[in-house]
Amino acid sequence: MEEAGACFRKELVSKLLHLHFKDDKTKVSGDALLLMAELLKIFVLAAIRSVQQSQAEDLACVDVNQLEKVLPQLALLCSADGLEGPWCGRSGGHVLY
Amino acid sequence: METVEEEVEDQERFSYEQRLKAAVHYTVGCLCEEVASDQGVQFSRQTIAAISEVTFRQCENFAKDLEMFARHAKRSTINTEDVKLLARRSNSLQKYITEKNEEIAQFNIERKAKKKQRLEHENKDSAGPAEAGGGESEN
Repeated sequence: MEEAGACFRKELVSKLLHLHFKDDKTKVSGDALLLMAELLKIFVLAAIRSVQQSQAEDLACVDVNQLEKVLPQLALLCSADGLEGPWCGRSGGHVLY
Repeated sequence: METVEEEVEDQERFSYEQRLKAAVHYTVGCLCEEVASDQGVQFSRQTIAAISEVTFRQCENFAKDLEMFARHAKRSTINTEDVKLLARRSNSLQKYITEKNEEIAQFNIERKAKKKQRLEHENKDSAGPAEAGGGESEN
Protein backbone atom coordinates (compact mmCIF):
# COMPACT_ATOMS: atom_id res chain seq x y z
CA MET A 1 0.00 0.00 0.00
CA GLU A 2 1.56 3.23 -1.07
CA GLU A 3 1.54 6.09 1.31
CA ALA A 4 3.18 9.37 0.55
CA GLY A 5 4.61 11.50 3.31
CA ALA A 6 4.70 11.27 7.07
CA CYS A 7 2.67 8.70 8.91
CA PHE A 8 2.46 6.96 12.24
CA ARG A 9 4.53 3.80 12.25
CA LYS A 10 2.69 0.58 13.00
CA GLU A 11 5.00 -0.17 15.91
CA LEU A 12 4.41 3.22 17.50
CA VAL A 13 0.65 2.90 17.18
CA SER A 14 0.81 -0.50 18.81
CA LYS A 15 2.83 0.81 21.75
CA LEU A 16 0.55 3.83 22.17
CA LEU A 17 -2.51 1.62 22.38
CA HIS A 18 -0.99 -1.07 24.58
CA LEU A 19 0.04 1.61 27.07
CA HIS A 20 -3.61 2.08 28.01
CA PHE A 21 -5.14 -1.38 27.76
CA LYS A 22 -6.63 -2.64 30.98
CA ASP A 23 -6.29 -6.30 30.07
CA ASP A 24 -2.93 -7.92 29.39
CA LYS A 25 -4.52 -10.28 26.92
CA THR A 26 -5.77 -7.53 24.62
CA LYS A 27 -4.12 -7.58 21.20
CA VAL A 28 -4.48 -5.56 18.00
CA SER A 29 -4.59 -7.02 14.51
CA GLY A 30 -2.08 -5.75 11.95
CA ASP A 31 -4.81 -4.29 9.77
CA ALA A 32 -6.36 -2.51 12.72
CA LEU A 33 -2.99 -0.94 13.46
CA LEU A 34 -2.73 0.32 9.89
CA LEU A 35 -6.22 1.76 10.11
CA MET A 36 -5.46 3.41 13.44
CA ALA A 37 -2.36 4.96 11.92
CA GLU A 38 -4.66 6.55 9.33
CA LEU A 39 -7.07 7.72 12.00
CA LEU A 40 -4.29 9.32 14.01
CA LYS A 41 -2.97 11.07 10.93
CA ILE A 42 -6.40 12.53 10.27
CA PHE A 43 -6.66 13.60 13.88
CA VAL A 44 -3.42 15.53 13.57
CA LEU A 45 -4.47 17.08 10.26
CA ALA A 46 -7.74 18.18 11.84
CA ALA A 47 -5.82 19.74 14.69
CA ILE A 48 -3.64 21.60 12.20
CA ARG A 49 -6.71 22.84 10.41
CA SER A 50 -8.28 24.03 13.66
CA VAL A 51 -5.13 25.97 14.38
CA GLN A 52 -5.20 27.54 10.95
CA GLN A 53 -8.84 28.48 11.21
CA SER A 54 -8.23 30.31 14.43
CA GLN A 55 -5.10 31.77 12.92
CA ALA A 56 -7.16 33.20 10.09
CA GLU A 57 -8.87 35.40 12.60
CA ASP A 58 -5.64 36.65 14.03
CA LEU A 59 -2.64 36.97 11.75
CA ALA A 60 -0.09 36.50 14.51
CA CYS A 61 1.55 33.13 14.85
CA VAL A 62 -0.66 30.80 16.81
CA ASP A 63 0.40 30.23 20.37
CA VAL A 64 -0.58 27.67 22.92
CA ASN A 65 -3.30 29.84 24.46
CA GLN A 66 -5.11 30.10 21.17
CA LEU A 67 -4.73 26.40 20.59
CA GLU A 68 -6.25 25.68 23.95
CA LYS A 69 -9.32 27.65 22.99
CA VAL A 70 -9.54 25.64 19.83
CA LEU A 71 -8.94 22.23 21.35
CA PRO A 72 -12.58 21.59 22.28
CA GLN A 73 -13.29 21.68 18.57
CA LEU A 74 -11.10 18.64 18.19
CA ALA A 75 -13.60 16.77 20.33
CA LEU A 76 -15.92 17.33 17.42
CA LEU A 77 -13.83 14.94 15.46
CA CYS A 78 -15.27 12.20 17.59
CA SER A 79 -18.69 13.58 18.29
CA ALA A 80 -20.04 15.65 15.42
CA ASP A 81 -22.03 14.53 12.46
CA GLY A 82 -21.25 15.52 8.93
CA LEU A 83 -18.12 17.33 9.97
CA GLU A 84 -16.17 18.50 6.97
CA GLY A 85 -12.66 17.49 7.65
CA PRO A 86 -9.32 17.39 5.91
CA TRP A 87 -10.09 13.89 4.75
CA CYS A 88 -12.83 15.17 2.43
CA GLY A 89 -12.42 16.10 -1.18
CA ARG A 90 -9.62 13.70 -1.80
CA SER A 91 -8.73 12.51 -5.22
CA GLY A 92 -6.48 9.74 -6.31
CA GLY A 93 -5.20 7.78 -3.38
CA HIS A 94 -3.84 10.31 -1.01
CA VAL A 95 -5.10 12.89 1.36
CA LEU A 96 -2.57 15.61 1.92
CA TYR A 97 -4.69 17.65 4.28
CA MET B 1 3.30 5.64 50.93
CA GLU B 2 4.87 3.95 47.90
CA THR B 3 7.44 1.23 48.25
CA VAL B 4 10.76 1.63 46.52
CA GLU B 5 9.73 -0.94 43.93
CA GLU B 6 6.54 0.94 43.17
CA GLU B 7 8.47 4.17 42.83
CA VAL B 8 10.95 2.60 40.44
CA GLU B 9 8.08 1.15 38.44
CA ASP B 10 6.41 4.54 38.26
CA GLN B 11 9.60 6.17 37.10
CA GLU B 12 10.12 3.54 34.45
CA ARG B 13 6.61 3.98 33.19
CA PHE B 14 7.06 7.72 33.19
CA SER B 15 10.24 7.62 31.10
CA TYR B 16 8.65 5.06 28.78
CA GLU B 17 5.74 7.44 28.27
CA GLN B 18 8.15 10.28 27.63
CA ARG B 19 9.85 8.26 24.91
CA LEU B 20 6.50 7.50 23.28
CA LYS B 21 5.53 11.16 23.49
CA ALA B 22 8.78 12.08 21.78
CA ALA B 23 8.03 9.63 18.99
CA VAL B 24 4.55 11.11 18.58
CA HIS B 25 6.04 14.58 18.60
CA TYR B 26 8.38 13.61 15.79
CA THR B 27 5.58 12.27 13.60
CA VAL B 28 3.37 15.27 14.33
CA GLY B 29 6.30 17.50 13.44
CA CYS B 30 6.72 15.72 10.12
CA LEU B 31 3.03 16.11 9.30
CA CYS B 32 3.12 19.79 10.21
CA GLU B 33 6.16 20.25 8.02
CA GLU B 34 4.35 18.71 5.07
CA VAL B 35 1.37 20.99 5.47
CA ALA B 36 3.63 23.96 6.08
CA SER B 37 5.68 23.46 2.94
CA ASP B 38 2.50 22.75 0.97
CA GLN B 39 0.93 26.02 1.99
CA GLY B 40 4.00 28.14 2.44
CA VAL B 41 3.27 28.79 6.11
CA GLN B 42 4.98 28.06 9.37
CA PHE B 43 4.01 26.45 12.62
CA SER B 44 5.55 27.46 15.91
CA ARG B 45 7.24 24.87 18.07
CA GLN B 46 4.61 25.45 20.73
CA THR B 47 1.88 24.66 18.24
CA ILE B 48 3.53 21.40 17.24
CA ALA B 49 4.10 20.52 20.87
CA ALA B 50 0.49 21.27 21.77
CA ILE B 51 -0.93 19.22 18.90
CA SER B 52 1.43 16.42 19.81
CA GLU B 53 0.30 16.49 23.44
CA VAL B 54 -3.37 16.40 22.48
CA THR B 55 -2.77 13.50 20.10
CA PHE B 56 -0.92 11.52 22.74
CA ARG B 57 -3.73 12.08 25.23
CA GLN B 58 -6.37 11.13 22.70
CA CYS B 59 -4.69 7.74 22.24
CA GLU B 60 -5.79 6.83 25.74
CA ASN B 61 -9.43 7.36 24.82
CA PHE B 62 -9.00 5.45 21.57
CA ALA B 63 -7.26 2.55 23.28
CA LYS B 64 -9.87 2.19 25.99
CA ASP B 65 -12.75 2.41 23.52
CA LEU B 66 -11.17 -0.14 21.20
CA GLU B 67 -10.57 -2.53 24.05
CA MET B 68 -14.17 -2.21 25.14
CA PHE B 69 -15.51 -2.74 21.63
CA ALA B 70 -13.49 -5.92 21.18
CA ARG B 71 -14.48 -7.18 24.59
CA HIS B 72 -18.12 -6.45 23.84
CA ALA B 73 -17.78 -8.69 20.80
CA LYS B 74 -16.18 -11.32 23.05
CA ARG B 75 -12.82 -10.98 21.35
CA SER B 76 -9.42 -10.30 22.83
CA THR B 77 -8.01 -9.07 19.53
CA ILE B 78 -9.01 -5.63 18.32
CA ASN B 79 -9.80 -5.69 14.61
CA THR B 80 -10.70 -3.22 11.88
CA GLU B 81 -14.40 -3.34 12.74
CA ASP B 82 -13.57 -1.90 16.13
CA VAL B 83 -11.57 0.89 14.52
CA LYS B 84 -14.44 1.67 12.18
CA LEU B 85 -16.73 1.93 15.18
CA LEU B 86 -14.37 4.49 16.64
CA ALA B 87 -14.87 6.67 13.58
CA ARG B 88 -18.65 6.41 13.69
CA ARG B 89 -19.49 9.90 14.94
CA SER B 90 -18.52 11.75 11.83
CA ASN B 91 -20.09 10.55 8.59
CA SER B 92 -17.31 11.80 6.38
CA LEU B 93 -14.62 10.39 8.65
CA GLN B 94 -16.37 7.06 8.74
CA LYS B 95 -16.54 7.02 4.96
CA TYR B 96 -12.83 7.78 4.67
CA ILE B 97 -11.86 5.14 7.20
CA THR B 98 -14.06 2.56 5.50
CA GLU B 99 -12.40 3.32 2.18
CA LYS B 100 -8.96 3.01 3.74
CA ASN B 101 -9.99 -0.29 5.24
CA GLU B 102 -11.02 -1.54 1.82
CA GLU B 103 -7.67 -0.43 0.41
CA ILE B 104 -5.88 -2.40 3.09
CA ALA B 105 -8.05 -5.46 2.46
CA GLN B 106 -7.46 -5.20 -1.28
CA PHE B 107 -3.74 -4.88 -0.72
CA ASN B 108 -3.80 -8.00 1.43
CA ILE B 109 -5.66 -9.94 -1.23
CA GLU B 110 -3.16 -8.89 -3.89
CA ARG B 111 -0.25 -9.71 -1.66
CA LYS B 112 -1.60 -13.17 -0.90
CA ALA B 113 -2.26 -13.80 -4.58
CA LYS B 114 1.31 -12.86 -5.43
CA LYS B 115 2.61 -15.08 -2.67
CA LYS B 116 0.52 -17.97 -3.90
CA GLN B 117 1.82 -17.44 -7.43
CA ARG B 118 5.36 -17.38 -6.19
CA LEU B 119 4.88 -20.57 -4.17
CA GLU B 120 3.34 -22.36 -7.14
CA HIS B 121 6.22 -21.23 -9.29
CA GLU B 122 8.71 -22.52 -6.76
CA ASN B 123 6.85 -25.81 -6.59
CA LYS B 124 7.32 -26.32 -10.29
CA ASP B 125 11.03 -25.86 -9.86
CA SER B 126 11.59 -27.94 -6.76
CA ALA B 127 10.19 -31.31 -5.86
CA GLY B 128 9.73 -30.51 -2.21
CA PRO B 129 6.38 -29.98 -0.52
CA ALA B 130 5.08 -26.46 -0.28
CA GLU B 131 4.65 -24.83 3.11
CA ALA B 132 1.33 -23.41 4.04
CA GLY B 133 1.18 -19.62 3.81
CA GLY B 134 1.76 -17.86 7.11
CA GLY B 135 -1.03 -15.90 8.72
CA GLU B 136 -0.94 -12.30 9.94
CA SER B 137 1.15 -11.91 13.01
CA GLU B 138 -0.68 -10.20 15.83
CA ASN B 139 0.72 -8.00 18.51
